[in-house]
Amino acid sequence: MLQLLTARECGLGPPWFLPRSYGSQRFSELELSKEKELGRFHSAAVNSLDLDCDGRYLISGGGDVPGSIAIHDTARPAGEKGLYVCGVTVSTYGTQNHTDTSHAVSVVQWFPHDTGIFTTTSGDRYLKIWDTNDLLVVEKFKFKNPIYTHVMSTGTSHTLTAVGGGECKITLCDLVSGASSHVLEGHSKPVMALAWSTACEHVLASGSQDNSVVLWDIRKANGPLTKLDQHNGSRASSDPSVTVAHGGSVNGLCFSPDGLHLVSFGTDDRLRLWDAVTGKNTLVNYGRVFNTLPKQNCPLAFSPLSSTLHPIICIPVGGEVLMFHLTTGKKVKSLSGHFGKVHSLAVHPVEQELYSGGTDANILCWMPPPPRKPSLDRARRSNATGAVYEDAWSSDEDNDDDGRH
Amino acid sequence: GTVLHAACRPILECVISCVGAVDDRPAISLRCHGRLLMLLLRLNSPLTRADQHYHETGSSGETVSPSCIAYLDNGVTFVGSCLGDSQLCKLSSAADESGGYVEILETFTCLAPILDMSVVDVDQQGRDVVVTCSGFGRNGSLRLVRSGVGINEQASIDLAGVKGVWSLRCGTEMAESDNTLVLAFVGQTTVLSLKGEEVEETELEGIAADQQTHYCSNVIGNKILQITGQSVRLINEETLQLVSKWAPPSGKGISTGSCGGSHVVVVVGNELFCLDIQDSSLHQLSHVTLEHEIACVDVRVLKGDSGTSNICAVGLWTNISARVLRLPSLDILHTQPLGGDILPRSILVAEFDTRTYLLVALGDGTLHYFQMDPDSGALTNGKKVVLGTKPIVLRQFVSGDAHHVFACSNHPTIIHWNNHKLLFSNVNLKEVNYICTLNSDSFRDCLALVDDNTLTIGSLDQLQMLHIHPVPLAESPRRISHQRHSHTFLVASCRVDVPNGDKTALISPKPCASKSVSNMLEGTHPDDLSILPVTTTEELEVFSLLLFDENSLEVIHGYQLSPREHVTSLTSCVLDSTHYYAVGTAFVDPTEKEPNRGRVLLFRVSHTKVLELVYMNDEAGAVYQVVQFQDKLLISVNSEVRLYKWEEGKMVLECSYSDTILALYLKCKGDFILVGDLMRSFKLLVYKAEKSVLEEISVETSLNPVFMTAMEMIDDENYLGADGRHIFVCQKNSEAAVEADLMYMLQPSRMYIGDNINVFRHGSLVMEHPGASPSPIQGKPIIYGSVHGAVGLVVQLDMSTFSVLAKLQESMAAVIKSVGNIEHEVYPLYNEFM
Repeated sequence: MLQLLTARECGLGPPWFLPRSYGSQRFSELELSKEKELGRFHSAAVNSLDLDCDGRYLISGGGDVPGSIAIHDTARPAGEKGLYVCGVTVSTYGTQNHTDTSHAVSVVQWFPHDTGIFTTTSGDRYLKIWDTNDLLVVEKFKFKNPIYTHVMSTGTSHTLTAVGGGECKITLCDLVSGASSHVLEGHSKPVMALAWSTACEHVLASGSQDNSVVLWDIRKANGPLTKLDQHNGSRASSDPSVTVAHGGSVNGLCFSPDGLHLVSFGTDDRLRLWDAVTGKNTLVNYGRVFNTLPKQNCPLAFSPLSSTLHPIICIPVGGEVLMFHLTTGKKVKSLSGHFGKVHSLAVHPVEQELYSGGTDANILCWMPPPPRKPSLDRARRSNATGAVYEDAWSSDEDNDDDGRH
Repeated sequence: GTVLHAACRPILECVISCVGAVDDRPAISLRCHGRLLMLLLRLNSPLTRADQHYHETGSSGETVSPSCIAYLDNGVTFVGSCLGDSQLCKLSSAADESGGYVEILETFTCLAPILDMSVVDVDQQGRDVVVTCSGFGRNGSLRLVRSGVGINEQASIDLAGVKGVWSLRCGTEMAESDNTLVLAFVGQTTVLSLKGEEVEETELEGIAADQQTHYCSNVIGNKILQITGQSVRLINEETLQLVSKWAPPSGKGISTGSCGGSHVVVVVGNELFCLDIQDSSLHQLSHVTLEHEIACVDVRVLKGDSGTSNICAVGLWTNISARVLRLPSLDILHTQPLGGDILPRSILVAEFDTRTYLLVALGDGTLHYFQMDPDSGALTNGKKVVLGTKPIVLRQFVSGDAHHVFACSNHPTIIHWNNHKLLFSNVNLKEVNYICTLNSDSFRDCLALVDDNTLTIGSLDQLQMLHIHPVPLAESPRRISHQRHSHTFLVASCRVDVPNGDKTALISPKPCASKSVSNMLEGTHPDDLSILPVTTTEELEVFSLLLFDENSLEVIHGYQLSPREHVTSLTSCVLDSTHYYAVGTAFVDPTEKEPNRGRVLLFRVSHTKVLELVYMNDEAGAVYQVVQFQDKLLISVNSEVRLYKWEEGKMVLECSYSDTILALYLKCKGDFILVGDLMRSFKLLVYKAEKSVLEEISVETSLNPVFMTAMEMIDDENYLGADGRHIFVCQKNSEAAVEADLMYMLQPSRMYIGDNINVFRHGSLVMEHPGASPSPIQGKPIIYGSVHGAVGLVVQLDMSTFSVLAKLQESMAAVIKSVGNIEHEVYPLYNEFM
C-alpha cells in the first residue's frame, strides 16, 4: 500500500492504478459482511437479484407461491443492534390483485438507468413491466412457452428487452411501443441465457440448449453475427452448421464491464472466456466448475469496473459462490454461507459488494473485511513468532478484537 | 509481404525507460538510468541486427529521467520529463572535452512532481515563499517559488552607511556608458570608478569629497552637477575641474536638491531656489520662501517640455502636504494635503506612457499617488498604498524602453505601468535603501542597490513573474516542514542505494545531499522488530532527514533512518513549550501488504543547529500523518487516529478512533479534526476534552468511493478535497431539518482539474497591498501543488465578483471556439468514472 501511495504521489503510474488495484484487492477479499444484514422476506428460494444503477436499492424476486418481490435499501442503517436490516418490503406479488400470479418469479430486473421501472418474468409466462412508485404492472407481454430469462438493454438509443424461453427464438420487446418489435431466430433449442454487450448496445449474446452461443446485431435482420466455436475452427471435422460453444446447454452468459470479454457457462461444467471483439475462445482453463443449476438460467457476475486491475468472475456453484481470476482462470476464493443452493447474484456497480440469494430464502451481503485495528502487541507477536504461524492464530485473534471493540 | 524478425540483443544491464525514433534514419535513441543511448539499425544483413553505439554522457552533461524523447533535427533532441526539468540536448558524434556526447542547450523548469510543500514567510514581511519537494530520484530538488521581481546579482561590495548613490559618466575618454559611482556618506562623499569588472575608489578633482552629496548627475553642456550640504557645484565632465559654484546666500546648509534639464532646484530650510545652468555658470533665477520646511523635492523633464523642466514638486513638513510649483518662476500651482502626521520623505514626478503621476512617499512606508496634469499641475485621482514599514525613497529608472519607479524601503517594490494601470511588484530583496541605474561597459542595464551593509550591482529579471530557485539534492525529497523557532526546514528525502560491482556492499551511485552531510546520525531498529534483512544484492531505499537553514537553504545536519524505515509524515510541533520536529515512519517489508510497524520520532534542534533525537514511540502500522492538535500530538496509524498527550517527556495515548479504511490525511482546527480516508473521502471528528474521546460528528457519504489525494480545511464548516482529478468542497450540514441529516456533509461544489493534487497549504504567493483596492478574495487562499508540477491557488470569491466572472466565462465560451470543440460547460464537469 505504501508503495502504491508513493507511486501515486510521484506520478510514477497512471492515476487510476491505485484505486483499481486496491479495488481488485478488496474484491478478492470479500467475506460475509459483519455490518450489513438483509431482512428476510421471501419464504422460498431467492431466484433473482438486481441492484439499481446507483447500487443502493436491491430488488429480489422470490420463488414463493404466489411469487414475491422485495426492494431493499442497502444504504439505510436501521435496527436497534446497529445492523443494517435493510429496507422494507414494499410489495408482494400476491397482493396485487392478479389472478395469474400464482407462479414463482424467475427473473427481476431494474430499468438500467433509474429505479422508476422494473421488469419481471415468472412461471406464468408473462414479461411484466412495473411502475416502482405505484407498484403496479403497467405493461405485460404474453408468451406461449416458459420464459428462462430476460435482459433489458443498458443502451440509450433503444429500450428493448430480450426474452429467451422455450420457443427457440429470442423475442425483443420494446418498452416504448409496448409491442414485441422483432424476433431473432437461429437457435434450434430453447434459449437459456442472454446478455447485452456493455460496449456496443446493439450486440446481444444468447446461449441455448443447443450448446451454442450466438452473437447478434439487432439491426441486422438476416441472421446472427457469429456463432462462437469452442475450438476456434481448428477441428478439421467441425461443420459450421454444428459449431458449438459448449458440450452441453449454455445457461450462463455475461459480458465483462469493459465489453471486451464474454463469459459463458454450460452444463458441460465448463466456464469459457471469449474475446468479445473477435469471437475467439481465449482457452483460459478454469477447471471443472459444476453446473448446479442445469435447468435454469445461471447468473454470472463480474467484479465492477472500479476493481478491474485483476477482473474476477463470480459464479454460483451449489451452496457457494466461486470467484475466479478472469484472465488466469485461478480460483480466488469461494464464498460459503448459504444453507441451500445459490440461485442469484448481484454486484454493486462501483463498490466491492456482492449480494447472493439462495434456496434457503436468505440474501447475504459479501463485503471486504473491515480494516484490522492496528495493535502493537499483535505486531510484536507476529514478529516474534514469525510469519509462518500467523495464519494459524490470526483469525481467533481477529474475533477477539472484534468482540472487545 | 515483409516478414519482420524480432532482433534481440542485450544492450546494457539497465531498465529502458523511454524510446524515441531518430527521424527517417533507422536509428532509435534510448534512455536508461540517466544515460542516453543511440541505436543504429542496419538493414543489410538477412536478420535485422541492432548495432549499437551508445553515447554515454559525461559527468558534466547528464540528461534528466525522461518521459518522452522527441528527435527534432540536426542532432537536437527534446528530452521531456515528468520527474524533473525537461531539456533540449544536442547529440554529437564526437565527444567534447569532458568526454560527453550530449550538450544541453536549454532547460525548461518543471516542478513535477510536487510531493509536499511548505508555505513560509521567511523574512516575515507578509510575503510567502513556497518551498516544494520536487523531482524524483537524481532529479530531486527543493524549489523556492516566489512572485515578484528578481535581481540577478552580478557584483557586491561590503560598504556600510551609504546615504545615497548616483552613477556618472566622466573622464577624458568620454565613454557612452557610466563609469563612476558617487556614494554619499554622512559628512562625506566617496567616488568609485568602474573599470571593466574592477571597482576601485578614486578621487575626482571637482567633486567635493568632504561634504555629503544630496544629488549628483550629468547635466546639459557636458557638465556634472553635485549638490552637497553646502553648495551646488558644476564640474566639467572631461577635465573634472570645478566650473562654477553656488552657495545659499543665507549661509545655511542645503538640505536637498534636484535637477531637470537646465533647471536646478535647491532646498535650504523652507526656502526654495531655482538655478539655471548656462554654459559654465549657475545663475539664480528665482527664490521663494514657503511657510514650512521642505522635506523633499523633485524636478523632472517631461515629454512635452522642451529640454528643460517646467514643473517642480515639493513635500512639506508640519502641514504634511505636497506642492506643485511652476519653474522657473516657483509659482505655486497646486497644494495637496496628504493627511496624517507622517511627513513625506520622497517625492517623484513620474511619466508612464501618456500619463504623468506624482508619487509622494511617507516615512511610515505609505505611498500616495496622484494623476497630474503636466500643464496646470493639478492633482487628481489620489490613491494610497502601503509598501513597507520604513521610510520609502523613490527613484526612477529605465529598464528596456520603459520608465519604472523603484520604491526603496524594507519592502522594495517596483512600480510600473501596464495596461493603463500602475502595478506594484515586489522585489526579491530584503531591504534596499537607495538605488541608481548603472549602465557601464561590464554591467549593462543594471541597478546599483544599497542596503545597510552592502552595495550590490545586479540586473532586473522580467517584471511580474514567478521566480523559481532550485536547490538540487540529487535524491527524492518526500516531506518538508518549517520551524520558525529554529529558523530551519526539515526535509525527509530518499535515495536508492544499489549493489556495487561484486555485490558485496550497497553504495550510493551518485553524490547526493544525504551523502554530503559530514556528521550524519544513524538510526537503528527497535530490538523486537524482525523484518526482512538488508541484502547487498538488492537495491535499497534509504531515507534521511536533512536539516536546512531557512535562509541559505544549505544542509546543516542530517539523520539517517534505519534500513527499511520510510518517512511517511513530518511536522513541526510545540509540546510543553519546546519546539520539536515530529516524524512519522513505517517499516516496510516488501513481502507484506500493509506495514505493521512504524514509529513516531521526536527531534529537537539544538542551539548549534544539530538534530537531537529526543523520543521514540512504537506504533503498529505506518504513521501516515502527524499533526499537532492543541498541545497534543495527533497521528494516524493505518486505519486508526490516535491522540497522544505529552506528559513528563513521554507520549501517553489519550484516545483513538478507528472507523476508517486508511486514515491518510489529518487536519485540525480548534476541537475539530478532519480525517481524509483512502477511499471514503472525509470524516469530521470532534475532541471532547471532558470525556477525552474522539467522536464522529459528520461524514461525507458519496455513493462512489472517493480516493483522496489531499485535503485542507477552508474554515470550520467547509473542507476542500482532491481525488486525483477533481477538487471538491464539502460542507458540514449544520442547518439540516432532520436530525439524522446533520451527520451527512453536503457537497456544494466540485470541479474537474485533471491533475493529481498532492498537497494543499494555506498561503498566497501574491502579497496583498492593503488599501490598494477592496479585495474580492475572502479568507486566506489555499495553494496547491500537483503531480504534474502545477502550483495553483484556490480562493473564495465574494458573490458579486463570482457572478461577474461566471458571466464573463459564459460570454467568452459563447465567442471563443474551444480546443477540440469540447464544450466549455462540459470540460470542468465532475466525472466519477475513473
